Amino acid sequence: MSEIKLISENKINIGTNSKILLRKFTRPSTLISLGLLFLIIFCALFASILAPTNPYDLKVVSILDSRLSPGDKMLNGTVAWLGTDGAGRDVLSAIIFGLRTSLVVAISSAVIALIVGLFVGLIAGFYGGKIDAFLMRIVDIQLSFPAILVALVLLALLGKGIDKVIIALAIVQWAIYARTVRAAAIVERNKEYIQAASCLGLSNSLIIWKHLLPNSISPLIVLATLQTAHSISIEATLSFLGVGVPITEPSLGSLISNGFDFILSGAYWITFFPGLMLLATVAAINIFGDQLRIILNPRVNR
Amino acid sequence: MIKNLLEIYNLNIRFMSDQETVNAVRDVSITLRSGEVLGVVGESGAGKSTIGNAIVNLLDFPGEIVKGKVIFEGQNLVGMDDKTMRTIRGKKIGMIFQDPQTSLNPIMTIGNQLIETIKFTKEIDYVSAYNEAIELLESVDIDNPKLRMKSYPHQFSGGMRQRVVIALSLAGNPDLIIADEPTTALDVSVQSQILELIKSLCKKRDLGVIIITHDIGVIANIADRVTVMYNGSIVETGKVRQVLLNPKHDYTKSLIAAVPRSDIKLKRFESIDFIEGNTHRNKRINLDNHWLGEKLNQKKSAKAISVFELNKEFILKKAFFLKNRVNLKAVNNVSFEINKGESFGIVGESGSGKSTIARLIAGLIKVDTGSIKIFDQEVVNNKNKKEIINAQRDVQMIFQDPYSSLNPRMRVQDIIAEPIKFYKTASNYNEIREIVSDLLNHVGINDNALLKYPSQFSGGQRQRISIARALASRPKILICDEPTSSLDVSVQAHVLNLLKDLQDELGLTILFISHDLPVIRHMCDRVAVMRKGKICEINTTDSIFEKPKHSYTKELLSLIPKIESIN
Repeated sequence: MSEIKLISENKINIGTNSKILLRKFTRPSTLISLGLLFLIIFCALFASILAPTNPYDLKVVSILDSRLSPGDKMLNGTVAWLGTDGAGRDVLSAIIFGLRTSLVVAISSAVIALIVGLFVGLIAGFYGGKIDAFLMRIVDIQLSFPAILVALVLLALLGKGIDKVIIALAIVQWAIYARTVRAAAIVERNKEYIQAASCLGLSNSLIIWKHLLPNSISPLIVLATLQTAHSISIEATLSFLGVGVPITEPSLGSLISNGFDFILSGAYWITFFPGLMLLATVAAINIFGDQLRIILNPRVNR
Repeated sequence: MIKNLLEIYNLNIRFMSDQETVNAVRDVSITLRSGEVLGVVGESGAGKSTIGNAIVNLLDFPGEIVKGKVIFEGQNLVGMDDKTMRTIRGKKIGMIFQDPQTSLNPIMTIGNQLIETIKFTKEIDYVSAYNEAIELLESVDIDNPKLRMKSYPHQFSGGMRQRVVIALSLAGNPDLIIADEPTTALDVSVQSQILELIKSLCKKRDLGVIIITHDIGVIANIADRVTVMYNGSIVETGKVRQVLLNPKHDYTKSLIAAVPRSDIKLKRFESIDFIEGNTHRNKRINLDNHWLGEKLNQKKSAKAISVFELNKEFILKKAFFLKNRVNLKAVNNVSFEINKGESFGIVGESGSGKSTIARLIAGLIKVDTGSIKIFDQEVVNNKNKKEIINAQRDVQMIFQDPYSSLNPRMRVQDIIAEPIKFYKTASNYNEIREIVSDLLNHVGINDNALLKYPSQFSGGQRQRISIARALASRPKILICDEPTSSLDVSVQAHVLNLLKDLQDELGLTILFISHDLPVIRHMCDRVAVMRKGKICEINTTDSIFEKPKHSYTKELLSLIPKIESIN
């Protein structure tokens, strides 16, 4: 009877875990969205090298090139693959530069909003009671206004400029992060390892920083990607309405609004291609965020 | 010869996934007659629930029956199609599950759930189903069944709900009932009633009953025959009396030796080596020159903890107006003293306020009124925060759930190093490493563990790690809040042995909180019995168990399921 062997206690094998993770990562939808995302970020980073012309260099831009249709040659010999706009700028180059502005605004506002939201959410979740109630009512008020409306009012007060847009977008978004972190923090806060830490005499700020934060942050990773896509579209809307980034540093939104005057006169490309790029960017980030949610969810294992 | 109701031959079940194949059940053969209660006992992972599910074809997804037959009333259930199976499941075979909270539909009245089941299983009209439902509720001893038919599950207590679940399983007049841990989620007093009910129903209706449980006490109380499972195989089958009093296999022997007894007080659990053999403490430390031994018995006071007229209320229902608020007195005028080096136990059923007391003493929640002194240092009515922090450093806590009491994102070495770094008890990195490794060895875990994460350990090992973390701040008092109630008996025996050894070596004072009377008897010198926030009786362990004075203590004692009780 003694042939029954002792079960080895350590059943979880890291090797198999990373295998599952790899398999989840190599699904076609993940790979396509990830590839597109890398391409977009790459274009934005190396805009000045990749763009055929510099659309903001007034020495190169000529009014004689205005409204060339896609594929025509410009005066200096370069081909405008996506046509030119009313001022004679190459649309392809403008898109690549505009992408950079859009991404900078979206990512930095998402990071600021995340930090503020994380802080507020952790405090609310950890202390609970009156502090929690007070902070969450602020969040409620913030969320009860449409994001676009709040951003419009803020920009009317703050004035124009990339930094102002980033601040406005961060103010619009922090509440969503705060709400999510708070929910995660409350779950973790009631677990016994937090009590054990306070038993050791650790101060509250140390418990929040070392124990609560690392365990409540994971739902934010997915949220942050989806929110980044959201803030790209809010920024585009603001720029389209003319209150966003200044005309000297156009984003995708301002490019779209730029060509809007010509759309009925047949020069569709000035609006159409920036719009397509906006769609592709937002879709790529959204799909990637969705895939990330599946990858990070341990319950979905196939 | 009486014909067997259920015969299982060479059943093999495996769970296959991409990564690995687990043979959960290997060559299991079981027979059961009508009117007989068969207990299947084993620890977690033994495959006992898998057998129960396999009988009614309810295996979870990757599981499949590889080989073997399940003959129920002459029919082979293995490989039977779903439609035929449905005529057997619920009608011929009833199931009782562990958690009565989740096995009833919360938005349907008890009556409707019963009537629906009866209508389906017996194909009769509403009125006769209604009458039958009332009869069923009567047969499981629910008072006033007509009125109760209109109640929802949440209006019932845990025990009542389990009775309803039993009534539901009886709805189709089954010949066989499979009960998977039917009393694990219940208090002792309710547990014995439910077991009594199942046993009497079995005899009255001539049912075959399979009880799946980890608790040998339950088996001793109810079963006629018992099958002991270990790691997917049957190690021993036989009459309860014969198996429990005269076990043949080493595993059964260890399992029975690991069960705390309520009749005598043992110094340690002996001969439990068959299980978890690799986690023995491998290194003894000479405490005279080791840092763990430093400053151990400096405090002069003879009283480690004195609690005087302690009160704590919880708000059950918030409301703006005072009269609408509902409060619960979780701790009501409680006073007791714990001597230095003593093991003091608090025992009571769930909701008696015993865990609240532990958290009050550890400073995790605020005291309403009353006083707590730790080594004569007042920690409640004290303005000097530094004094409180210093006093409370002597008190460390070990929690019930080893799965949530360690930070899942920290490595074991960082978890244990945290208090050392915080109190700056070591001067440099190497010293910290040395202390951490000593501590782990001291609780029986070797150095390979240092870089791993908590999720890579079993429940028992995690509990050892929590003990090491508690020791790292050099406490003089350990509060153990149900430290073993989520562990298997054999693991429990090892952890309790460890706690006793540590107490002997380090001269710790232990406040031990449990609902489990035999564990309390094993661990404690003195015991307080609590009920509804009040202490009923405080006395030495022997007098509490031999000569209980309070009526509630007597009641509690009479309800413990015991191995010794088989006659």
